Amino acid sequence: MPSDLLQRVIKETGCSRATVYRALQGSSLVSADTREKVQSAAKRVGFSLNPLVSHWMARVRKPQASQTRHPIVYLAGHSSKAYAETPLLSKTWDGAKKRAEELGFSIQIWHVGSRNLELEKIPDQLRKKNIHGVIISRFPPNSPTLSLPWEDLSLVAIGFSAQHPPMHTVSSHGYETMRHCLEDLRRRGYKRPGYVGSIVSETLGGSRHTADFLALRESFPDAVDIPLLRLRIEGESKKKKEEFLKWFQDYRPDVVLSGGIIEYRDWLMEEGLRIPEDVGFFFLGIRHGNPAYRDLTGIPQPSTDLGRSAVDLLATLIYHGERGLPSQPDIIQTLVPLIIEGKTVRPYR
Amino acid sequence: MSVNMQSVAEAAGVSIMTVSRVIHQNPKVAKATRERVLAELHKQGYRRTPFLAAWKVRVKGDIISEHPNVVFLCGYPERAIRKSPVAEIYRAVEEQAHTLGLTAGFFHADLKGRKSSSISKVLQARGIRGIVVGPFPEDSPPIALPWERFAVAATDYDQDLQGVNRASQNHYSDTQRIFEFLLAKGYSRPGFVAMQGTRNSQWLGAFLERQWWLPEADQIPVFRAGTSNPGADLQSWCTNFRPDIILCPFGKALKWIDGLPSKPKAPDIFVLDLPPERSNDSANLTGMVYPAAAIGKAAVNLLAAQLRHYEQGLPTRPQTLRVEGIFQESRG
Repeated sequence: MPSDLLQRVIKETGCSRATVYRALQGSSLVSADTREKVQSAAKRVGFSLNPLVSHWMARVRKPQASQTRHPIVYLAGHSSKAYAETPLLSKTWDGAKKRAEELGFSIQIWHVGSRNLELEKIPDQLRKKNIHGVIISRFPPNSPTLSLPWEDLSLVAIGFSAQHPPMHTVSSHGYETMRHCLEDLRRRGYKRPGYVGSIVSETLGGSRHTADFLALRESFPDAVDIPLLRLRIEGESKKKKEEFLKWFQDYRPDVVLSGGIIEYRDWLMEEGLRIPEDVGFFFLGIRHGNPAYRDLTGIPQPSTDLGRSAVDLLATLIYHGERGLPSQPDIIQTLVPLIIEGKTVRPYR
Repeated sequence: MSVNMQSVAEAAGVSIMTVSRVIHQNPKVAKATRERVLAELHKQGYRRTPFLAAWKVRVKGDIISEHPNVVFLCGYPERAIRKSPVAEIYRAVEEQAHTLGLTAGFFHADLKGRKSSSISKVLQARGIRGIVVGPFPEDSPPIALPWERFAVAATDYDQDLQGVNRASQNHYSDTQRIFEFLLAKGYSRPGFVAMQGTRNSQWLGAFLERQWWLPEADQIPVFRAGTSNPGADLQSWCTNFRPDIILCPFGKALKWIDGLPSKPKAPDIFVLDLPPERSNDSANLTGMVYPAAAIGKAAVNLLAAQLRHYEQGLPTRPQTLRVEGIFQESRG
């Protein structure tokens, strides 16, 4: 009998019924010590809340019960102007918005740093509007560190661009995405894929793309001798070109994969190589609607799917009543399976 | 004015049953019809209440049943995995399912003795809605279930199943952490013993990526096992390249390294994929413990999210949930 079990928890902990419920829901109104005490007592006697009902009840009992659409906030690091001009940003937001509506949440975008919303005011705004779910989207490089009332919020970050403590994150560039691309190239008869990575800054950013490529290259025995080439994004173009062409001539991959700059293709063509007859070129991160990327074969910059995944993950956290910074953050990678068919790799065999 | 199924059905020119099917994401409704009904629902102001909707799926009897509604599908009988990390995954699956109000059971799918289709029938007859896919013997035929009828989450142990949600170790960030740890301890020439297999190649890829940042003189070529006498080959590799620490998977490679002569000085070892339970073999090793419990929990979370959103079948955009491993330092 549930009520007996509840009684035992109350007796064992000396807490009131309301405190017991609050503690089990992970409410920040209850101190961490009490929360732990109640949770361990509940576990001992075998009392548990039905997570779905309890969360619903926690909401209907609040004064603003009539507002049944749970509000969540999408913190945008770029201005609304940047969103209007950059499909990558706007599509990610569109994906999040659409998914939130499907699931029945109401979602609003807040542009951080705009005149109406200074960084310091965010915690206050969140509290006033009773918001407990936040998605932290992409931020420009060198943005200030975010400081939010973490323990009150269910949190999900998109990518790794914003400065904040570790939290659950959705990202792309997954192993599955690279596997999908390489399987596709295999079906086109390529046997010797070579990869050009890029170094974005001096810091040790590393690259998941690079690691995933190197892992999957193990299944291309003809390609394991090709060394990893990495070039600085903002490096001097002439030097980069020399380095790239030397690498290419020395090792002769039959298809070049890259996520950095599209000039690699131009440099190959300037050498008199025909694409795709002599060598294939596969680009990771084709930009939506940008004419410079027309004709390229590859995968798009991930956007809509990332927004969707972020909302999915946030919904899960909200359903489970998980708030605050996780001790073990989850990283969710979304597959970007759609290969854009351009003219830079050969057809399937 | 409140929205109701009748008015939506009339406006969209379909039956009330069809509207209901659309709301519950029943795959029987044609795509065009579904979109028309969704548009009409939206226009008339229908919005789901996430918590109630999630709860209703359960009370309708769809999910609540006496039988387990989530199974851990495994190619080995339960007693055979008792001492492997898989048991730990299964324990976590059970526990997390319980926390979320689901029940989990173990399902031994013996593909040599039974056809996939018969396994599928049993699962459906028992009302099972979610499957966590565990390991299968290498020589067993591939499992061919009608995956679209279930919510599915795979783990590190079945890499061949594509297009499903998966909970997996974060080899990439783990490797970054391992390097940080080793460099802080004063090692400068890490070597890598590569074995076959997808998981091992994920470690290898992450290693090679990170190794590239070391000074060129300290970038030791990877040792690839594959010849008839790996022990002797390993020895000459060590003599040639003088690694001060070797990263290798738990298992066979450790025995080869143990066999190395201790003079002048045998390299130290960092083990990847240590089993979660300390045994006599592993207690004195330094390495990264496979986060089996976190993997099991993550797999159930992936399933539960699908079930809760009424989603069955293969996801249009599969997700991989990456979980970090756990450091273990030897006492010695």
